[in-house]
Parts: sequence; C-alpha cells; structure tokens
Amino acid sequence: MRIDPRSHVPIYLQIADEVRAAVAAGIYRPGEVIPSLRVLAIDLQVNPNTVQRAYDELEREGLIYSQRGKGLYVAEQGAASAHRRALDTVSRAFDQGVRCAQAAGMSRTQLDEVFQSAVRRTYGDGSQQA
Amino acid sequence: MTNGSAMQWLVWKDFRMNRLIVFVGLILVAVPHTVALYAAWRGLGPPASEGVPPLAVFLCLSSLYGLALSEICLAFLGGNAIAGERADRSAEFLGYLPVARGRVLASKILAAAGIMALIWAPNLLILAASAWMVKPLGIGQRDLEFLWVALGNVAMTGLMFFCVAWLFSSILESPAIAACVGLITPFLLLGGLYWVSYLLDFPAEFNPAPWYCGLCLVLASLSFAAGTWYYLRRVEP
Amino acid sequence: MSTSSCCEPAIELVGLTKRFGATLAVDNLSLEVPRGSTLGLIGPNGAGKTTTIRILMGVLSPTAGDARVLGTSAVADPTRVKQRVGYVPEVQHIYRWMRVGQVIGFCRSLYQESWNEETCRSVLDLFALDPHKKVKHLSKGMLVKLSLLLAISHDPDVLVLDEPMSGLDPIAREEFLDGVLRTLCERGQTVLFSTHTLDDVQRMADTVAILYEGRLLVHGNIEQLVATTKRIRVVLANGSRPDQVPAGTVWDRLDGREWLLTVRDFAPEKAQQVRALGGVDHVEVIDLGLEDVFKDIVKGQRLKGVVQ
Repeated sequence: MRIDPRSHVPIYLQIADEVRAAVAAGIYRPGEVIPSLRVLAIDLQVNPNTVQRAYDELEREGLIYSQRGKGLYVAEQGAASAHRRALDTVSRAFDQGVRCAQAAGMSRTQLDEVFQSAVRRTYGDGSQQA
Repeated sequence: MTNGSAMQWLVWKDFRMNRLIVFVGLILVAVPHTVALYAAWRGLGPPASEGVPPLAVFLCLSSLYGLALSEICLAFLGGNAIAGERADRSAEFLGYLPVARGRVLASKILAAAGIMALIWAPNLLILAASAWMVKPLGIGQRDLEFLWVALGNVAMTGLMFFCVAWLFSSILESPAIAACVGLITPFLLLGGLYWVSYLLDFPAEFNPAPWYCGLCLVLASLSFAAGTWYYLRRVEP
Repeated sequence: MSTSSCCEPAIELVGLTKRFGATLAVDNLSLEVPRGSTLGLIGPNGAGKTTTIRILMGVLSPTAGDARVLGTSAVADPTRVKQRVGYVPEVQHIYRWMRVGQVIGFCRSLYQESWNEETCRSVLDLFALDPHKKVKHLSKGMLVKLSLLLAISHDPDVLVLDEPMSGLDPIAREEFLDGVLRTLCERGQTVLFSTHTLDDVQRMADTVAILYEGRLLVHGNIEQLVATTKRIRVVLANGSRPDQVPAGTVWDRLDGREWLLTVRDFAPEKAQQVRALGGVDHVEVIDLGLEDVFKDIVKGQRLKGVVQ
C-alpha cells in the first residue's frame, strides 16, 4: 500500500481507497484481519490519527468491523461495498481526466478516441475480460 | 557510575572537560621538582648553611615555585568553566536538559576544586616532606614569616586568576580570552599599586603585599559573585 | 499521567514577541495545539520558527507574551518545561568526547524518575546504536537518532522537533520517522515540528501553521486548508488584468493571456464572480496541494511587502 502526500486527495481517503481496493482485489477476504493501526501507520509513515480516521470511515460504511483485543476484520458484505466504492474512485479519476481534456480544448470525439486506446492498452484487444 | 546521581555525572563531565588542564598542571608541577632533584644530585646551587640538607631547601623552593606555576591552571579552569561549553556549543545540549543552573555551577566549582587538589597534593606533600627534613634544625621566625607571606600572595593571586577568569567565562564565549584576562588582572593590580604608591609618594618601606592581598580578595569575591549572578539570571545557554 | 485538565491545550503561545535589536523575529504570535494532535510549523528561512521553538523550550526569553507547555510557562519555569518535553534540535551539540552509553547515563541522571529504561533500551535496539561509540564518530543520521532516543526515553507528553530530518539521507529519514511513529502510536504525544519538507507535514501533521517574518499567516487543519484554497486559471481575451479580485485572493500573476489567482475560502460563487468580469474568455478551477498553497501564500505576502 502506498499513499501520495502530494495528491489533492486527503491522506485518510487515500488509505481508505487503498484498503477498499485491496478488499475488492481479494487480498483481504471477508472474515480476515486487516493490518492494525500501528502497523499501517508505521508502514505508510503517516500519523496514526489519520489511519484511525480512515478506519473509522471504513467501519462507518460497513467494510470492516472491530473485535476488541483481536483487531479489525473485513465484513461479510465488505467485498460488495468495496466494489461500489472502487467504482466511485474510478468515476472520480475520469472526472479529472475529462476536465483536463476540456481545458486542453479537446472535442468529444478526440476524447473518446483517447479513452478507447487506453482501454485497448490495458484490457487488450477484443473480448478479453479483466 | 551507570546509575550515579545527577551531581556525580555533572562533576564527572566537568572533570573530563578539563582533562587537558590536569595533564598540563601535573607537568607544571613536575618540572621544578625535577630541576631540584637534578641540582641536588649534581651538587649545584649556593653553599648550604651548616647542617641544612641542600635537597630540603631545593625541594621547599621548588614546591613553592610549583604551587605558583600550577596556579596558571586556575586561570584556565576559570576561563574554561562556562565559556568552554559555549565554545564547542555543548552548552546548547545541556541548556535543553532539566537541570537547575545552580547545580551546573556547583558541579563546575567542585570539579575545579578537585582538580586543583589533585595538582597541589604532590606539591604540598613534598613541601611537608622538606619541612620535616629541616625541622630538627629549627626554622627561623623570619623564614616562617616569609613562607606564610609568600604562600598568602600566591594563594591570592591564584584566587584572582580563577575568579576573574570565571566572571569573563560567564559573560563571554571564548575560554581562552577569559583565561587570559584572569591571568593579566593580578599583574595589572600589582602594577597599579606600585604606580599609585609612586604617584602619591609613599615612603620607601611601603610594602604593597597586604594591600595586594586585600584587594585581590575583594576583587576576586566581587568577580566570582558577579559571574555567578549573571549566569544564574541568564536564560540562554 | 499529568495533573492538568484534559481540555487544556498542550502548547499555548500567547502574544509571543521577540525582538533582536531592531529586528522583530516573532511578532505577536498566538496559537494553541490541542492535546494529542500534531502541528507542522512551516515558513521560509528566517520566519521565526526556531526562535519560537527556543522560547517555547525556555532557552530564550521573549520580549513580550508567554509560551506554555501543559500549563507550565516556559518563561516562569523553564526547567519544568524541559522535564516534560522531548526535544530534538536541528543541529546536535552533544558532548563529542562522550560515548553513547555515557550520554544516556548522563541524561538518565538528569531526568531521574521520568526515565523509562525499557523505552530507552528498545529504541537503542531499534536504531542499532552502539553504546561504546564516541559521539564524534557518529554519522549525522545516528546523531539525530540518538537525539530522538534521548527525547523519548523520559516519557514526555509533548515532542518538539526543530527541522529534525534536515540533512538526513532518505533511509535515515525513514528510520527517524519510524522511531517517531512508534512512540506516537504507543503514547499519543502532542507533537510540534518545524520543517521545510511539506510532504512530512502532510503525512504527519493534523494542523499546520505558516509563519512569515515572525507573523502567523495561517493556522488550521491541513485538509481544510488544502480543500478550501483553490487556484483559478483565467484566460483573458486581451491580456489586461481586471481591477477586481474575489475576496480571499492571496496571490495572483498575469502571464500573457493567462491569469492565475490563488483564492482562500473558495466557494463556487467566487469562480462565478471572475467569469462575470469583463474580458474573461475561460475560467477553470484547479485543486492545489499543500506545497502550492504554502508557496502562493508566502509569495503573496512578499509582494504585499514590496508594494507597501
């Protein structure tokens, strides 16, 4: 997991996004424990208060739950919620990209071309599903 | 030592910071005695009075001379006391530690006293030994008087060295300058006394010694008090 | 552990002023740092960060005002402040002739009951410091780590770090931050640190205070500051700068047809205001990071000073 202190996205949201992405990707499955506050704070080199905020947010939306003395676990509905939020993140990234395109004076057609070639690059040609 | 009290650590620190002065002081003490021993061995020097072993006389003189020489150490001890830590900026390390300024000064004084005791101990022992050697012959009253006056002057000069250097060490950041000021002051004082006695046309038998001792004591006390007061009131390291 | 109330701020600066001859190094500075939070103190060189920290630690007396740590005034009782604060300076002046073990013993004797031998030993292991090595043989990185060890081994409730990572290589930086974070996770101290590295502020601090020429320009939550300070990029039709700028503009620059403004307390209405000005072709709102916010605020102050 990495965070970018220079990004405009607040660090606690970045951490939450990273944890959601990890759950969505299946790195942490429902019922499994996620890194403790201490471990994550030291690993990412951020203030523990910030990690706490991220975890509070995730707990609030139901992605994780805490068991006293045992740590933080991924909730059963976690994966689904993570997917939803992952979509949100993608949507945000697209917003930013489209805004850049507009500022650069690109037309819709040009923008669509750019999008299609990016999809081809990552997902491959034709019918290969990600 | 690992679990020593604060005062033990502070005194150790101040002693260690003045290690060079201890080394120099012991050498300064050793040199006159070496010369005395050599002279006695080679039979040099003026013819001795009846029955008085020349070695005793030489050692007595070399002890006095050694005491006087070693007093130079007092100037450097005083000069290095506070300014020494400013010169290498370790005062800024100590300054952030929770120790009362009074304690810091007390440890410096204790360390200085310990160092001088260490340097003087051999000297005083040799002086005592030489006195014991001439004891059976009886020492003249005049000789004893001379001895005490000499010791007194030497002691007062030494006190001036230390206390004036202490004052300037407290105010300045250079231990060398503080030590030099300490070294010069007694001579300025003595010179001043002679000059005043000349100007005011004092009688020829005028003996500046008691005046010198008295003024030394006063000036030394004032300097020490001023230096201490300034350091205690100061907030910066 | 402490006897003062939990609501009292950990650090309080009240109208702090420091004059060096004709120069005003700190100018009526007032701010509070709540318990358990981390304040990043930033500003250009000579802004008064180190002077403020020195006054807070009781090694410099202010011309006016007060600095309080956990209720104790640094002016009235500096020794008590030093007892309760873990301090790491920018440049270490530890006795060079001492060995690491001796330095630790020396400090242990001065902190007495507060000293936590277990913390000391674990940090010594973490940093892999050799107790027999002389301080003069330590590299800069090891020296700073030793300084941190001494700062946290007496279980302080407040940590004050004055540009602690300046001059450290990236690995030493990481190790130092590691040490700070470990103790922070364990004890939740209040931290005040000054730095030039804005990345560190974003990582470590909850709130930020920007100093400039001894004055406090900004003090608040970092997220909020970054979220509410935006740059407006305007394309002007004929390259002439409009007279009116939206409220809260801290800096602006005209470069050909492009006009950039940095606006604090941004609201969409401000962008509308700019659109409504004459001669405006295109308006765009850009998000800024802390570094840009800092630079623009300081540049804006500089220009103000020049104009006046």
